[in-house]
Amino acid sequence: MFFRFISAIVLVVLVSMAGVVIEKRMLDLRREVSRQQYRTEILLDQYTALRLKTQQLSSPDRMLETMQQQQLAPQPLSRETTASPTNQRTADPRMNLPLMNWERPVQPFRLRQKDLR
Amino acid sequence: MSPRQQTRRWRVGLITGGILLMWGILAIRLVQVQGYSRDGFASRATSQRTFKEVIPARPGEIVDRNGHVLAMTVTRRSLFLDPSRIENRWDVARQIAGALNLSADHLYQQLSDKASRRFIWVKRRLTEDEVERVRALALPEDIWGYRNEYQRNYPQGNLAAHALGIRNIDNHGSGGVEQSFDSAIRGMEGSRILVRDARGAVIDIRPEAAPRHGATIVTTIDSTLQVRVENQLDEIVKQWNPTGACAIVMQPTTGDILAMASRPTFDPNKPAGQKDAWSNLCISAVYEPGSTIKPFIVGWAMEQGLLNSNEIFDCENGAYRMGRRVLHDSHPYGRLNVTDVLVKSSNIGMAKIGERLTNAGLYRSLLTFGFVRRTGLELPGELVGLVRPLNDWNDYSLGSVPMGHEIAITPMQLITAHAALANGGRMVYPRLTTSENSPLPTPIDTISRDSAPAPVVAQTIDPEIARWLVNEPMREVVERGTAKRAQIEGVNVFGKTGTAQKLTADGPQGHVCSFVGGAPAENPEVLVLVVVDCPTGQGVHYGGTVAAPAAREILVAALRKVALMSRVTSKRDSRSSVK
Repeated sequence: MFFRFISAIVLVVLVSMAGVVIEKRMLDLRREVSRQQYRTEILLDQYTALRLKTQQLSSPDRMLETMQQQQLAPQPLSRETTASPTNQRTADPRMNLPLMNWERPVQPFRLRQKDLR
Repeated sequence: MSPRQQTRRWRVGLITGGILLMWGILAIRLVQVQGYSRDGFASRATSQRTFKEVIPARPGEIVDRNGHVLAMTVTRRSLFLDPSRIENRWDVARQIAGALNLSADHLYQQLSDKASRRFIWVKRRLTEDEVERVRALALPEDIWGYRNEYQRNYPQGNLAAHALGIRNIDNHGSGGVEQSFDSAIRGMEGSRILVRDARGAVIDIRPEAAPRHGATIVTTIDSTLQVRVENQLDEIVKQWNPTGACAIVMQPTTGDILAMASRPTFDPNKPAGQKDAWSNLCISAVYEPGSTIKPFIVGWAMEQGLLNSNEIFDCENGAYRMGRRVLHDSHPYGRLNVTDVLVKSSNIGMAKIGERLTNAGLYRSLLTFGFVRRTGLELPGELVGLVRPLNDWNDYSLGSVPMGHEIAITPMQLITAHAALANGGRMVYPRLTTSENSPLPTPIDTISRDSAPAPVVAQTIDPEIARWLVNEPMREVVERGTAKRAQIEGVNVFGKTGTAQKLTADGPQGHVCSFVGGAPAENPEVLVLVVVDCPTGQGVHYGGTVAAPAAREILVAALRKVALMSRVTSKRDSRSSVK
């Protein structure tokens, strides 16, 4: 009798604890979703700000003005830039394949404190 | 039972009764709270712990046919303060005013007047520099904050300002595409529910309705060409000092408006204080077209079988009596064929053609070429023109209407009608938006393309007559007539100049001169109209002198552009056929 009672109690406690764990996990996931949405909004804002800047800098008015001042005249390519990559032999073997020499460090996205305000 | 026992029993009964009564009251209260007042309390509890936040929809972009952004929306931060939590008001006011170039006294006064409030705006839509300057002040965190707000921005400045219009602080479009496509650009705001705990901290966010961001409108405008047109108008203003001027570039086959500009103009980024510049003269100004209307009268007379292209007219050596009125030509002419009547712009020759058509025929010609109705361009404020009812026409009308007097039309109506001639008599109504997709990818996947209605098409006159008008008289107007300054080496340009006196209540006052033309005459690909209102510089007021040179420059740029566009299109077609 006592054993059955204790078993029932333990079962109830275990089910409750499982429920609490699932609830916490759900809350975490929802928080993560909210955070991702917030990040998306920030990225979208940054995208539009940069797009605006790009459009301002590349506006036809500005480009035509620059072209009229002959600042955008085609420049003759230097020997270095026209040389084929396969002809360039250096001590560093990676330099033989310059197009594959991508070593840009990828940093995880992190919200700046000022973005949170 | 002893008295003591009786007393004890009485006390037990009293206590039991009291307890039962108390339980009874509690039970009744429970029923009241949980039953009768359940909804009221539930809604009070919900309102205390939840808060509905509106998610504004981001207004859509307006782009040109090549994907250049003409109007877009960026997020800006607006600064607010919580005056109830500020202890040293003067210190805060002084610091913020210094960072934002505000009056410290005014801000202090605001903080003092609204000391018990929890929220006041300090400055809205700050620049990035201002945002950083306020952050650098390191004010206590609980007294200030930023809120994001959208701000409309026009990255190209005053380029195509009249065609675009503006979007105000409340996200309402005024004028231009902004007004015509207001609901599509504005989108629909969404909402979410924020759940707070007892201390006011947000513990849960429940999405309620996702915002529907505004659609991107793809216009037919070509920014590069638009810059050229704007520059030419600026040159006209500089050289001729007119009251106003406007220019339109159109593709006659599709009705696409490649460029449209008007002077005076305004900067949509700073629209305040530019009241005189709001009017888009291309659609909201009417003027007597003068000689630019003559090809339509000739074309309609030929269409009706009342005129032959080989006929000779006696132009009476410059003076012709029509009833009580004597008509004059600018130069005395003798016998002219139909081509020369147009090339030399003889008013007497045109009056004789008008006599054959009669008033009814003249009215019918205006009706056919769309001068009695709006063109249907997707812009607000388009005027219908001024053509009096036929019953009001008299003998004067027979001489006046064929030379472009007694009627007033908009520049858009005129170029649309000329596009019909250039297009083999097939009238294609103008359009400023296209359903084509922008070539630029956008990460905002909620933005959709707004599909523009297909252009309406109508046959006005026989294709042979239209081709003859363009290839013979209108081409010769440029080669040896009044528009020699519109000639382009190696290209057959066709066109017609127009000069009309402006009549006011005080009598004639200035002229409106214009030139409408296109190229190449064999297969017109582009059409340009330049209208100059009251040119005052150098004492000249002829369309061939004032408007034609600017139209020529625009035409050169437009032909280059159209050639480039056709090359891109053919490349795209060949690529898609390979796939």
